Amino acid sequence: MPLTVTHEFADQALKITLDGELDAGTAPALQAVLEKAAGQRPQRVVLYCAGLTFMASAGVRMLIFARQKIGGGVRIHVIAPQQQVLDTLKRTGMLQAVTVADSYPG
Amino acid sequence: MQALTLPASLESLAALRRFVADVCTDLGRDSLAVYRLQLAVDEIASNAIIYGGADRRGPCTFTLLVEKTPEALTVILEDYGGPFDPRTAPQHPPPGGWGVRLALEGVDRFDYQHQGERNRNIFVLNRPRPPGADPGS
Repeated sequence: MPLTVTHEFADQALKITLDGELDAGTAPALQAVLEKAAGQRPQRVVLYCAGLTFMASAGVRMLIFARQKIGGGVRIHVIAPQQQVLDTLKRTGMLQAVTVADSYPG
Repeated sequence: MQALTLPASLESLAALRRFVADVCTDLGRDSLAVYRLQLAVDEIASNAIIYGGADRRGPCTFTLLVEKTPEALTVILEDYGGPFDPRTAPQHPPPGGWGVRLALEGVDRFDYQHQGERNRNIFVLNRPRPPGADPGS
């Protein structure tokens, strides 16, 4: 399944909705959005993940890329991740670096 | 034995994962175990493209072979990229090496062979033991 990335900028938050599968082949679509939006200096990146069914390490690297590109102070929220995506975040140690919630604002 | 051959490209990753899910339907393991096997195959295949040049060497294909026994499911990923044994990958601080670690830790057993020009990455998931089975058997 391809990855669909839609985004908006509101209330100093970059809100991104991910649908599909995030792997090494589809991660560049997310990277392009992050690069484009980084100039707006969002304080938060909110990833709506309810429709995301797969996340490889390439997806986790995108979370690090967001932090590096936007700035270390940016907070990353992962909203409504499925069990599989949560598992990838746990096993890479990224769960400690993001805020996971069922909704935003939580 | 079931098999699937696809062009070695990042565009083939989703089809590799679907095939893995399909062959796991009678495995008896939970969905998380199947997901971890899909992730393991995905990570090794991605590395074969990105670092091993599997899309530019030999026939430029991925082949998945599946062996089923009463005890386990074995999935073998073959590619023609540069020889690379994930078990001997150098340890890097994160995020380096995440993919290999997810692959090796995501299955019950992992093995690697280099045969001819092929990398053979071998992923094994055990079937659940039937209730009352002798744990030593």
